[in-house]
Amino acid sequence: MLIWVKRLLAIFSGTLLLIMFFPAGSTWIGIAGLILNLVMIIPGKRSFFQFIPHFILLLNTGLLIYGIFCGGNLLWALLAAVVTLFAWNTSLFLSRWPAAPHEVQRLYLRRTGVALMSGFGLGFSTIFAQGKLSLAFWPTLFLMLAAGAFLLKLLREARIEGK
Amino acid sequence: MMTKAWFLLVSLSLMLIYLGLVCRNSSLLALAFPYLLFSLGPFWRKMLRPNLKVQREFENVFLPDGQTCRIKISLTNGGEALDEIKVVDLVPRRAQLEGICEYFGPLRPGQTISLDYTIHGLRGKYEFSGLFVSVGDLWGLRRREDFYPAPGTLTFFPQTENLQKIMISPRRTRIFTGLIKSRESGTGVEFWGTRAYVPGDSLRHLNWKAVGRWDFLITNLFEQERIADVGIILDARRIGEVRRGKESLFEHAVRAAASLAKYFLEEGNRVGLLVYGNYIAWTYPAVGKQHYARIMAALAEAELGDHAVFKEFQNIPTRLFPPGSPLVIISPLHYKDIFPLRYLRALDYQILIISPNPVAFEESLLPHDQFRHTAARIANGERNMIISRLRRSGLKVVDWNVQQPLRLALRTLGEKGRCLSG
Repeated sequence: MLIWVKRLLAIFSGTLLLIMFFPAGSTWIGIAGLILNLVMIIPGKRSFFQFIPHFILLLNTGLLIYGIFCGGNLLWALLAAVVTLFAWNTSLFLSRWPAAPHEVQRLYLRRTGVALMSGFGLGFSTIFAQGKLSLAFWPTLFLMLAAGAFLLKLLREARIEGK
Repeated sequence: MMTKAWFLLVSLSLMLIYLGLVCRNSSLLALAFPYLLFSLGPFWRKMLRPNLKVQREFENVFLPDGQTCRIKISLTNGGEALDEIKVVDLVPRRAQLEGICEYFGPLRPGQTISLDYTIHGLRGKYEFSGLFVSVGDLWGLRRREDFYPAPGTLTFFPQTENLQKIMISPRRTRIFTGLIKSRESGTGVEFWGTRAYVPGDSLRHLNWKAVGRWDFLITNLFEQERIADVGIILDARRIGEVRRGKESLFEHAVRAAASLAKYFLEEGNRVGLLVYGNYIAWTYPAVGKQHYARIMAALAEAELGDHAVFKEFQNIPTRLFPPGSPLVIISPLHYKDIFPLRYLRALDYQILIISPNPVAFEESLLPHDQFRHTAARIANGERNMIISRLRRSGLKVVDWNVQQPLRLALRTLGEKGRCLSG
């Protein structure tokens, strides 16, 4: 289950990089980023493959910084950062525990979901703050409160599970 | 303890913050947030020392080498749920394992896991200290490592061989009745001599033939049988060791020492053991089954050493052995040993040297080629010279080819002869 999550996140992070670089006019960098992110999909047990997630994390961070300097959209950059972080962490988890039981995989997804939601929430909050979406004040406040409540619920669940 | 992955994450977030501040770019500062958030995630929960109850069980703690021992470790979680725990039993390095001595996975409250594995017996004393426990979060960013003591000792003592009669007749014996001929007349079964009858002597012991011949009463004397102090010296100097792969000459010597100790103890003697190598490992002479176990434990721990002080036999502490007592030395022999061994003989010890033949042992392990035979002949020549010089000095030497049982080698001493007489 988790291996597919990792693969999807790798594709997703590469796509987000492409989306970020496309309007900035550096599409070829986005394509290169996408291809390099797809390297994470390659299964391997050698020690070389253990370094790939770290390498991709460093590479994506570098590309995001470059993208922001090139005038890329911060929303896409934040989303790409969040997805990259989760792809990286899922790879770490799988390298540490390749045959984790389904219960543990579900627990991991639940725990990471907390941080994932907070990352997405942060991204959307930023875009709202930037005024890129033409939303009125009250719907924005409602959405933020709903996201916050959902986030707290997830955090509480994760904490109870931990006990 | 934070992991390397966490440090990478924190470094990236700090780098983004500093870059954002230096370039006065708010977007970069915003980009640092997911990294910071992720790196602060592990601090959501306190990571306390897990409340684990550890119990180690051995199938048997004292058993001969070549056998196997099953070890079971039970680990119960008496605290909160642990998402990811790694438990490794710190097994002594030399131990040969079969089975898994580690666990990696989650541990619910009250859950018990057991590690079950088998150790193949190679001679030695195995000290088990405890378990290494590493508890981490699922993100792999924080980890706590602890040591849980679960001590235990497992001893694989050397295998022994049943030996046939080795007759010893030392100059000095103990006062207690045993099986060793004491060279003194008294109560016994072996005829010792005759003397004139004195009132009080048993009439059953009158020698009627002598009475008929000499025309006065003559009584038979018998040799007293007592116990003796037998000293066994195991040569553990590295200089005499021959090792090829798993085959070791020293292991044969240790087995010989164990067999001899068992034999002499079964005969009712007091047996002392000196392992002469790295240091003086001395087991004080005593009798009985408990002492047998003590000697076996000492032999299980015997290791080769190359301490400069014990390079030669000159430093054997003779004070440990009563004068005139029989000494059994198990050594492959070196030409430098001739003088110290002669010196021991001069001190009136009755010495039997059991010498595992290193030349024959090594020859059997070497590949067949044109030089092997010649080299063996030269080495054998030197060895024969050492043995003959020792024999000329009154020491009994048994040249033991370790591929044969020890009892066959001891036959060369003669079945009825007093092989250890002064």
